[in-house]
Amino acid sequence: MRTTRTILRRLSLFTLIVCGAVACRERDRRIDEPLDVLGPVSIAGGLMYTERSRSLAFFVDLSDDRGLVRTAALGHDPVVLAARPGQPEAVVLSRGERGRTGVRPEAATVTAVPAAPGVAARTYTVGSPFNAMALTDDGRFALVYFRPETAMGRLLFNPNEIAVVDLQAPAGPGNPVLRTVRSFGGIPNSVVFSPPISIRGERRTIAVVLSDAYVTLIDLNHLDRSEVSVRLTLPEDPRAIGPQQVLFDVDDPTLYIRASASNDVYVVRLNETMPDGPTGNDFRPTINQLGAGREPADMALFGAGAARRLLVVSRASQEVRVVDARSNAIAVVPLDARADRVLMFEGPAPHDTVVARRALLYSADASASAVTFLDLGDVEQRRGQNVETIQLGRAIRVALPLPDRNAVMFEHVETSSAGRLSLLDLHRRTASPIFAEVSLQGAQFDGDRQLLWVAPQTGTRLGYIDLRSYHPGEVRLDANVSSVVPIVGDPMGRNRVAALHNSAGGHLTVIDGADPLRDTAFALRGFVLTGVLDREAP
Amino acid sequence: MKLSKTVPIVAAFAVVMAFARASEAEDDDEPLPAPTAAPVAAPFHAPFQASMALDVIWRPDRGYDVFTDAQVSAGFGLTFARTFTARGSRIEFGAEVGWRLDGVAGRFAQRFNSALWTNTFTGGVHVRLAVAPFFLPFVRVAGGGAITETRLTADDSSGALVGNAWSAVGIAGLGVMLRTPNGFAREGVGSRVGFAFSVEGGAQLFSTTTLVVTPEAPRDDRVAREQIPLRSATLGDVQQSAPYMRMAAGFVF
Repeated sequence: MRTTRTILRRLSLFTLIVCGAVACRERDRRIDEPLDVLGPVSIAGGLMYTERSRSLAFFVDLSDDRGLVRTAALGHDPVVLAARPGQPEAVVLSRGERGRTGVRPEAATVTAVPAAPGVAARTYTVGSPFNAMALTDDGRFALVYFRPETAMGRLLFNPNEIAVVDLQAPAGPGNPVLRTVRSFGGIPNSVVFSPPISIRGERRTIAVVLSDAYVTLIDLNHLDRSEVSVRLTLPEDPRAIGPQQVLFDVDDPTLYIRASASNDVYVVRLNETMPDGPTGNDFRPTINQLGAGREPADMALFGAGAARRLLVVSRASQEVRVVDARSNAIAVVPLDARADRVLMFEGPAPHDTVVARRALLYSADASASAVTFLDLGDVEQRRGQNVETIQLGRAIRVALPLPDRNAVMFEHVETSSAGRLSLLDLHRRTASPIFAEVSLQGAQFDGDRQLLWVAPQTGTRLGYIDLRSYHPGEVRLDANVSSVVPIVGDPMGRNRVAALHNSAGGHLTVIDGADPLRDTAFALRGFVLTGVLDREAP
Repeated sequence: MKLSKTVPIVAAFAVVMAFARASEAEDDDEPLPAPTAAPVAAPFHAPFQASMALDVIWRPDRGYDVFTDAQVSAGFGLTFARTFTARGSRIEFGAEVGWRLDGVAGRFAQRFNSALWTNTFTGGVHVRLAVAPFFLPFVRVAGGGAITETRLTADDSSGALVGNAWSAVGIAGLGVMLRTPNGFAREGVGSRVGFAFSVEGGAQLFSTTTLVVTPEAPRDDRVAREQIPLRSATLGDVQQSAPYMRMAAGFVF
């Protein structure tokens, strides 16, 4: 019996050890958090998503028909996903983790996630839990900042703190650069970037941080220099002037700023100067205000050199103003129809075969049923003689410029026998109806802008219009379509789009624009669950 | 600590303490007799065994978090064994074939119901030592294959994601069998059949199981034929290698 007791004793001891070893594992609480998906953005022939609960980026590689999915780790709480212009990468801003039981605090990060397989992501620690990000047009810099929100999720934060990340350089002591911009009581609302501007013979990019009643200029090529703040109002002016639109004149470094609650356009000229100390800038801004009618709604620059002009369309005063960018002289042109948008184009007119710069002025808020053509040649002298109004007969709700096709597609408020859509030929100045059961909201061009894709709010059919012939068509898919995304950067140059379907695990259908049929389509579902089993200890 | 973790620890601890106390008491009170050549009764001769088993399998891999919030899963199995040893031998060699179904089901991400089922098919050998005619410690090794079925169903109406994956399996176990004599009846079938009950602990080794899922095909054949081709999604790897406890009951004959 001693043998039996020994065997049993050892067996029991083994069982106890095994039980103790395996029972200590904690269930990962993140598994019970709902999937929170951001995106997609289209890069390198695929789509990039992020998922918050797992802090992962998913790249759905659609360059071939296999639809492989690659993942990359991100910082906690990804909140902004953007495609990096000019590069096959996505850039993700993560707010980090403030810390809780069993979870250590983690600083906010910016992560550049390459689409290519085997290329590691680059992570830049930006520290504070920023919630907004803007990228320069050349994709070199990312500027992260705080956008006003009701709940920021932290006890204290400095809303005027920003960080500038040089995405071309590795992370290091000087990258990213963190600083607090000067404040006149406001906080950043948004950020825009200039195209490359030449100042003292050096091309550079200027970041313009837009705050209520002032803007802040940051020379991104000289981040060691101090920022420059420009007030748009006098200190005693209580108006909340909110900058809405910024145009850049790169020939004569100047910013044109349109703002809400103001009938003026603010002209900020960057005058070259000698730097004042090691952190001084080599430009000094001067500001000028130009009257722009009542409620200026849109503006555009045209002409070059001494003929540079600013066109400002004003909603309430139903007029357009032409401003000489050098002398600030203003010519007012009254309009017959209300307008709040400017579309510049080049082409002939029915009465003029000369290809010239012209403007279409229209409104897309269902308040106008006519559009205005404005010929820009000698407009300051001819004024009303250069204006032609075209009646469309129905109020315009959505406008979709098709500049490559010299046309604008309008969606009208009511569906009548005249058709819900109309196509305005910018050269002939004629409007043709197109019958549609779908809104232009969310319409997307494919990669080479030969097809226009529209997804209905409900239903499984995806509509398209061939912009070469204006031939419409539709494709029946296997699930309701929520939106459509063009797939850019296809390595084989194909024009494909992805129809997105509402599904918890992700669902999309890839359609070939050259042959938009079910037979050439393929679908992926569940790709957001890729690697869901491959978890490490929290 | 959750109940699911506490119960196995307490149960195992109680088992150990009980045996330890029993053995210590016996060790203290009854000094072991000197070895003698006392004859041991010959074991019952029952070359065949058919049994049903209930398995408890611990799941150390975090991949199982997707399928269950418990850390153990239960399984049901059937085994058929044949002993080849000559009548009267105290050491029995045998071969066996078995099937087991174990599974877990749960919920994750607040939107998915999940299930993982594994059918394991094994063939193996065992060695039993007849310490007493009714008491047979044994070791068992087996090998084979397993097919793992996965099913994820979202709360929306998008349908289920399903997939199958094969794995190679190896099992090594150590246990004891209690066996009644053949013939609980004086005549008829009952005269040639006995009962067996066994408890076994061990480890199962699985090759890595990569779970790949695709949307479940529509039931309507015509719809399925016209469906746009769907690509699969790789959920990742799940490690099914784990320690287990098995309780089996069956017939010997």
